[in-house]
Amino acid sequence: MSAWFAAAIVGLGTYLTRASFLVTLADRDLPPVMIHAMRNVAPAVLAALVASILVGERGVAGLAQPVELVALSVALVVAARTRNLTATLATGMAAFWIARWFAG
Amino acid sequence: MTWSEAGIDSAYRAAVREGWPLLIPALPFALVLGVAISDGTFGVLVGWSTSWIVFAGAAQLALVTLFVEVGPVSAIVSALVVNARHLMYSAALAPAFRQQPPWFRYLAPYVLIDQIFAVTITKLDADPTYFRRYYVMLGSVFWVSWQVTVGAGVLLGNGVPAEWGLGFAVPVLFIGLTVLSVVRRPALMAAAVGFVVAVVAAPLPNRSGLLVGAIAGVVAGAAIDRDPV
Repeated sequence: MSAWFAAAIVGLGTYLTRASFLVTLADRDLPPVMIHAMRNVAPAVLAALVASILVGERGVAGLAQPVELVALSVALVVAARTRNLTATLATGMAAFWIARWFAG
Repeated sequence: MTWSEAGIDSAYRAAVREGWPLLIPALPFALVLGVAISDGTFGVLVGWSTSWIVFAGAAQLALVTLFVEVGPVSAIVSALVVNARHLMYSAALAPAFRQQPPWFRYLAPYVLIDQIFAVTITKLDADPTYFRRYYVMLGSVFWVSWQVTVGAGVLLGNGVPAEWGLGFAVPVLFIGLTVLSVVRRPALMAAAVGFVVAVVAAPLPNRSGLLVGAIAGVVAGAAIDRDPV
Protein backbone atom coordinates (compact mmCIF):
# COMPACT_ATOMS: atom_id res chain seq x y z
CA MET A 1 0.00 0.00 0.00
CA SER A 2 1.37 3.40 -0.85
CA ALA A 3 2.02 5.89 1.93
CA TRP A 4 -0.01 8.53 0.05
CA PHE A 5 -3.02 6.22 -0.03
CA ALA A 6 -2.69 5.54 3.71
CA ALA A 7 -2.39 9.26 4.43
CA ALA A 8 -5.52 9.91 2.35
CA ILE A 9 -7.52 7.28 4.25
CA VAL A 10 -6.47 8.64 7.63
CA GLY A 11 -7.12 12.19 6.46
CA LEU A 12 -10.59 11.35 5.20
CA GLY A 13 -11.45 9.30 8.29
CA THR A 14 -10.26 12.08 10.58
CA TYR A 15 -12.26 14.70 8.71
CA LEU A 16 -15.43 12.59 8.79
CA THR A 17 -15.03 12.01 12.54
CA ARG A 18 -14.67 15.73 13.17
CA ALA A 19 -17.39 16.74 10.70
CA SER A 20 -19.98 14.24 11.93
CA PHE A 21 -22.00 16.57 14.14
CA LEU A 22 -20.90 19.94 12.77
CA VAL A 23 -22.05 19.23 9.22
CA THR A 24 -25.18 17.23 9.97
CA LEU A 25 -26.07 19.46 12.93
CA ALA A 26 -27.55 16.39 14.52
CA ASP A 27 -29.65 17.41 17.48
CA ARG A 28 -29.11 14.08 19.16
CA ASP A 29 -26.32 13.44 21.59
CA LEU A 30 -24.00 10.50 21.21
CA PRO A 31 -25.35 7.28 22.71
CA PRO A 32 -24.10 7.17 26.32
CA VAL A 33 -22.62 3.71 25.80
CA MET A 34 -20.45 5.12 23.04
CA ILE A 35 -19.29 8.10 25.06
CA HIS A 36 -18.45 5.71 27.85
CA ALA A 37 -16.39 3.41 25.65
CA MET A 38 -14.69 6.31 23.88
CA ARG A 39 -13.27 7.78 27.07
CA ASN A 40 -11.15 4.64 27.42
CA VAL A 41 -10.13 4.29 23.78
CA ALA A 42 -7.38 6.93 23.66
CA PRO A 43 -5.55 5.75 26.81
CA ALA A 44 -5.73 2.10 25.72
CA VAL A 45 -4.47 2.74 22.18
CA LEU A 46 -1.75 5.18 23.22
CA ALA A 47 -0.42 2.82 25.91
CA ALA A 48 -0.47 -0.07 23.43
CA LEU A 49 1.46 2.14 20.98
CA VAL A 50 4.17 2.76 23.57
CA ALA A 51 4.38 -0.99 24.20
CA SER A 52 4.58 -1.78 20.50
CA ILE A 53 7.31 0.78 19.81
CA LEU A 54 9.27 -0.32 22.88
CA VAL A 55 9.34 -4.11 22.48
CA GLY A 56 8.80 -4.57 18.74
CA GLU A 57 8.01 -8.21 18.01
CA ARG A 58 9.99 -9.56 20.95
CA GLY A 59 7.18 -9.51 23.50
CA VAL A 60 8.12 -9.66 27.20
CA ALA A 61 11.80 -10.28 26.30
CA GLY A 62 11.80 -6.87 24.66
CA LEU A 63 11.42 -5.24 28.07
CA ALA A 64 15.11 -6.00 28.77
CA GLN A 65 16.17 -2.48 27.73
CA PRO A 66 17.21 -0.75 30.96
CA VAL A 67 18.10 2.58 29.33
CA GLU A 68 14.77 2.91 27.55
CA LEU A 69 12.80 1.69 30.57
CA VAL A 70 14.48 4.18 32.90
CA ALA A 71 13.87 7.05 30.48
CA LEU A 72 10.23 6.14 29.90
CA SER A 73 9.66 5.73 33.64
CA VAL A 74 11.04 9.21 34.25
CA ALA A 75 8.80 10.56 31.49
CA LEU A 76 5.82 8.78 33.04
CA VAL A 77 6.40 10.28 36.48
CA VAL A 78 7.02 13.79 35.12
CA ALA A 79 3.91 13.59 32.92
CA ALA A 80 1.77 12.47 35.86
CA ARG A 81 3.16 15.18 38.15
CA THR A 82 3.17 18.13 35.74
CA ARG A 83 0.66 17.10 33.05
CA ASN A 84 2.93 19.13 30.77
CA LEU A 85 4.01 17.58 27.47
CA THR A 86 7.03 19.83 26.94
CA ALA A 87 8.42 19.08 30.41
CA THR A 88 7.81 15.37 29.80
CA LEU A 89 9.66 15.47 26.51
CA ALA A 90 12.62 17.41 27.93
CA THR A 91 13.11 15.25 31.04
CA GLY A 92 12.43 11.98 29.19
CA MET A 93 15.11 12.74 26.59
CA ALA A 94 17.54 14.02 29.24
CA ALA A 95 17.02 10.80 31.23
CA PHE A 96 17.55 8.79 28.05
CA TRP A 97 20.88 10.47 27.30
CA ILE A 98 22.10 10.29 30.89
CA ALA A 99 21.12 6.63 31.28
CA ARG A 100 22.76 5.82 27.98
CA TRP A 101 25.95 7.54 29.06
CA PHE A 102 26.01 5.54 32.32
CA ALA A 103 25.33 2.34 30.44
CA GLY A 104 28.30 3.11 28.22
CA MET B 1 -14.53 52.80 13.90
CA THR B 2 -17.91 51.16 13.38
CA TRP B 3 -19.27 48.53 15.70
CA SER B 4 -18.66 45.70 13.28
CA GLU B 5 -15.03 46.70 12.76
CA ALA B 6 -14.55 46.70 16.51
CA GLY B 7 -16.17 43.24 16.60
CA ILE B 8 -13.86 41.85 13.93
CA ASP B 9 -10.84 43.27 15.64
CA SER B 10 -11.74 41.89 19.03
CA ALA B 11 -12.60 38.39 17.74
CA TYR B 12 -9.29 38.09 15.89
CA ARG B 13 -7.27 39.58 18.72
CA ALA B 14 -8.98 37.42 21.32
CA ALA B 15 -8.23 34.29 19.28
CA VAL B 16 -4.52 35.11 19.18
CA ARG B 17 -4.41 36.18 22.82
CA GLU B 18 -6.19 33.08 24.09
CA GLY B 19 -4.66 30.66 21.59
CA TRP B 20 -0.94 31.17 21.98
CA PRO B 21 -0.60 29.63 25.47
CA LEU B 22 -1.85 26.39 23.92
CA LEU B 23 0.15 26.82 20.72
CA ILE B 24 3.60 27.04 22.32
CA PRO B 25 3.41 23.60 24.04
CA ALA B 26 2.24 22.05 20.73
CA LEU B 27 5.41 23.11 18.89
CA PRO B 28 7.84 20.58 20.45
CA PHE B 29 5.34 17.90 19.43
CA ALA B 30 5.50 19.17 15.85
CA LEU B 31 9.31 19.09 15.98
CA VAL B 32 9.33 15.48 17.22
CA LEU B 33 6.92 14.53 14.46
CA GLY B 34 9.16 16.23 11.90
CA VAL B 35 12.24 14.42 13.24
CA ALA B 36 10.35 11.10 13.04
CA ILE B 37 9.37 11.89 9.44
CA SER B 38 12.96 12.78 8.53
CA ASP B 39 14.13 9.17 8.98
CA GLY B 40 12.43 8.54 5.66
CA THR B 41 10.78 5.16 6.30
CA PHE B 42 7.34 6.59 5.48
CA GLY B 43 8.61 9.03 2.86
CA VAL B 44 9.63 12.59 3.68
CA LEU B 45 7.29 14.50 1.37
CA VAL B 46 4.26 12.36 2.13
CA GLY B 47 5.21 12.35 5.82
CA TRP B 48 5.25 16.13 5.99
CA SER B 49 2.09 16.23 3.86
CA THR B 50 0.16 14.34 6.54
CA SER B 51 0.28 17.71 8.32
CA TRP B 52 -2.17 19.19 5.83
CA ILE B 53 -3.88 15.94 4.80
CA VAL B 54 -4.64 14.78 8.36
CA PHE B 55 -3.72 17.69 10.66
CA ALA B 56 -3.84 15.64 13.88
CA GLY B 57 -0.53 15.16 15.71
CA ALA B 58 -0.99 11.84 17.50
CA ALA B 59 -2.59 10.22 14.44
CA GLN B 60 0.19 11.52 12.17
CA LEU B 61 2.85 10.22 14.55
CA ALA B 62 1.18 6.80 14.76
CA LEU B 63 0.85 6.60 10.98
CA VAL B 64 4.42 7.58 10.06
CA THR B 65 6.14 5.54 12.78
CA LEU B 66 4.07 2.36 12.43
CA PHE B 67 3.49 2.18 8.67
CA VAL B 68 6.65 0.24 7.80
CA GLU B 69 7.56 -1.07 11.24
CA VAL B 70 4.19 -2.57 12.14
CA GLY B 71 2.31 -2.59 8.85
CA PRO B 72 -0.11 -0.36 6.95
CA VAL B 73 -3.36 -1.75 8.33
CA SER B 74 -2.35 -1.50 12.00
CA ALA B 75 -0.95 1.97 11.35
CA ILE B 76 -4.16 3.23 9.73
CA VAL B 77 -6.45 1.65 12.31
CA SER B 78 -4.35 3.03 15.19
CA ALA B 79 -4.32 6.51 13.69
CA LEU B 80 -8.09 6.52 13.18
CA VAL B 81 -8.84 5.07 16.61
CA VAL B 82 -6.61 7.62 18.32
CA ASN B 83 -8.78 10.24 16.63
CA ALA B 84 -12.11 8.79 17.78
CA ARG B 85 -12.23 11.46 20.50
CA HIS B 86 -12.97 14.02 17.80
CA LEU B 87 -16.46 12.57 17.59
CA MET B 88 -17.05 13.92 21.10
CA TYR B 89 -15.65 17.33 20.17
CA SER B 90 -17.92 17.46 17.15
CA ALA B 91 -21.00 16.60 19.20
CA ALA B 92 -20.13 19.08 21.94
CA LEU B 93 -19.51 21.99 19.53
CA ALA B 94 -22.54 21.35 17.30
CA PRO B 95 -24.80 23.91 19.08
CA ALA B 96 -22.47 26.75 18.04
CA PHE B 97 -22.77 25.68 14.39
CA ARG B 98 -26.55 25.70 14.01
CA GLN B 99 -26.53 29.33 12.83
CA GLN B 100 -23.38 29.12 10.75
CA PRO B 101 -23.17 29.18 6.93
CA PRO B 102 -22.47 25.87 5.15
CA TRP B 103 -18.93 26.84 4.01
CA PHE B 104 -17.91 27.26 7.63
CA ARG B 105 -19.62 24.06 8.77
CA TYR B 106 -17.69 22.09 6.14
CA LEU B 107 -14.36 23.88 6.68
CA ALA B 108 -14.30 24.05 10.48
CA PRO B 109 -13.97 20.28 11.09
CA TYR B 110 -10.72 20.25 9.11
CA VAL B 111 -8.94 22.13 11.92
CA LEU B 112 -10.85 20.72 14.91
CA ILE B 113 -7.80 19.66 16.96
CA ASP B 114 -7.66 19.25 20.75
CA GLN B 115 -6.49 22.80 21.41
CA ILE B 116 -9.10 24.44 19.21
CA PHE B 117 -11.81 22.42 20.88
CA ALA B 118 -10.54 23.34 24.34
CA VAL B 119 -10.70 27.06 23.57
CA THR B 120 -13.84 27.30 21.41
CA ILE B 121 -15.97 25.12 23.68
CA THR B 122 -15.91 28.10 26.06
CA LYS B 123 -17.45 30.32 23.34
CA LEU B 124 -20.70 28.45 22.69
CA ASP B 125 -22.76 31.47 23.74
CA ALA B 126 -20.84 33.98 21.63
CA ASP B 127 -22.45 35.88 18.78
CA PRO B 128 -22.34 33.60 15.65
CA THR B 129 -20.23 36.06 13.65
CA TYR B 130 -17.83 36.54 16.54
CA PHE B 131 -17.61 32.77 17.02
CA ARG B 132 -16.86 32.20 13.33
CA ARG B 133 -14.13 34.85 13.14
CA TYR B 134 -12.61 33.64 16.38
CA TYR B 135 -12.59 30.02 15.16
CA VAL B 136 -11.17 30.87 11.73
CA MET B 137 -8.38 32.95 13.23
CA LEU B 138 -7.49 30.33 15.83
CA GLY B 139 -7.59 27.55 13.23
CA SER B 140 -5.40 29.51 10.81
CA VAL B 141 -2.75 30.27 13.44
CA PHE B 142 -2.54 26.64 14.54
CA TRP B 143 -2.61 25.30 10.99
CA VAL B 144 0.18 27.51 9.66
CA SER B 145 2.32 27.00 12.78
CA TRP B 146 1.92 23.24 12.49
CA GLN B 147 2.95 23.06 8.82
CA VAL B 148 6.01 25.23 9.41
CA THR B 149 7.14 23.55 12.64
CA VAL B 150 6.75 19.99 11.31
CA GLY B 151 8.87 21.12 8.34
CA ALA B 152 11.44 22.57 10.73
CA GLY B 153 11.48 19.23 12.56
CA VAL B 154 12.25 17.42 9.28
CA LEU B 155 15.21 19.75 8.70
CA LEU B 156 16.32 19.32 12.31
CA GLY B 157 16.16 15.54 11.98
CA ASN B 158 18.27 15.68 8.82
CA GLY B 159 20.83 17.91 10.50
CA VAL B 160 21.27 15.95 13.72
CA PRO B 161 23.39 12.76 13.71
CA ALA B 162 21.41 9.54 14.18
CA GLU B 163 23.61 8.62 17.19
CA TRP B 164 21.85 11.28 19.24
CA GLY B 165 18.82 9.02 19.28
CA LEU B 166 16.27 11.80 18.74
CA GLY B 167 13.89 9.11 17.49
CA PHE B 168 13.41 8.06 21.11
CA ALA B 169 11.35 11.23 21.54
CA VAL B 170 8.49 9.35 19.84
CA PRO B 171 7.79 6.83 22.65
CA VAL B 172 8.46 9.59 25.22
CA LEU B 173 5.82 11.74 23.57
CA PHE B 174 3.35 8.85 23.41
CA ILE B 175 3.94 8.17 27.14
CA GLY B 176 3.10 11.81 27.83
CA LEU B 177 -0.03 11.68 25.67
CA THR B 178 -1.11 8.48 27.44
CA VAL B 179 -0.79 10.11 30.85
CA LEU B 180 -2.66 13.22 29.72
CA SER B 181 -5.49 11.06 28.37
CA VAL B 182 -5.95 9.40 31.78
CA VAL B 183 -8.35 11.51 33.79
CA ARG B 184 -10.43 8.77 35.43
CA ARG B 185 -9.72 5.45 37.10
CA PRO B 186 -11.23 3.34 34.25
CA ALA B 187 -8.93 5.16 31.81
CA LEU B 188 -5.95 4.25 34.00
CA MET B 189 -7.09 0.62 33.89
CA ALA B 190 -7.49 0.85 30.10
CA ALA B 191 -3.95 2.22 29.70
CA ALA B 192 -2.33 -0.30 32.05
CA VAL B 193 -4.06 -3.30 30.50
CA GLY B 194 -3.47 -1.93 27.00
CA PHE B 195 0.26 -1.70 27.68
CA VAL B 196 0.68 -5.09 29.35
CA VAL B 197 -1.40 -7.01 26.81
CA ALA B 198 0.33 -5.26 23.89
CA VAL B 199 3.72 -6.31 25.32
CA VAL B 200 2.67 -9.92 25.89
CA ALA B 201 0.89 -10.13 22.53
CA ALA B 202 3.72 -8.44 20.60
CA PRO B 203 4.97 -11.66 18.96
CA LEU B 204 1.55 -12.34 17.36
CA PRO B 205 1.51 -12.49 13.54
CA ASN B 206 1.21 -9.28 11.47
CA ARG B 207 2.03 -7.23 14.57
CA SER B 208 -1.59 -7.57 15.63
CA GLY B 209 -0.47 -7.32 19.28
CA LEU B 210 -0.95 -3.56 19.15
CA LEU B 211 -4.63 -3.82 18.31
CA VAL B 212 -5.16 -6.79 20.66
CA GLY B 213 -3.68 -4.70 23.47
CA ALA B 214 -5.83 -1.69 22.60
CA ILE B 215 -9.04 -3.74 22.54
CA ALA B 216 -8.16 -5.48 25.81
CA GLY B 217 -7.56 -2.07 27.38
CA VAL B 218 -10.92 -0.68 26.27
CA VAL B 219 -12.74 -3.77 27.54
CA ALA B 220 -10.89 -3.68 30.89
CA GLY B 221 -11.68 0.01 31.31
CA ALA B 222 -15.35 -0.55 30.57
CA ALA B 223 -15.44 -3.52 32.98
CA ILE B 224 -14.57 -1.38 36.01
CA ASP B 225 -16.47 1.70 34.83
CA ARG B 226 -19.13 2.37 37.46
CA ASP B 227 -20.30 5.74 36.13
CA PRO B 228 -23.98 5.71 35.25
CA VAL B 229 -24.51 5.05 31.54
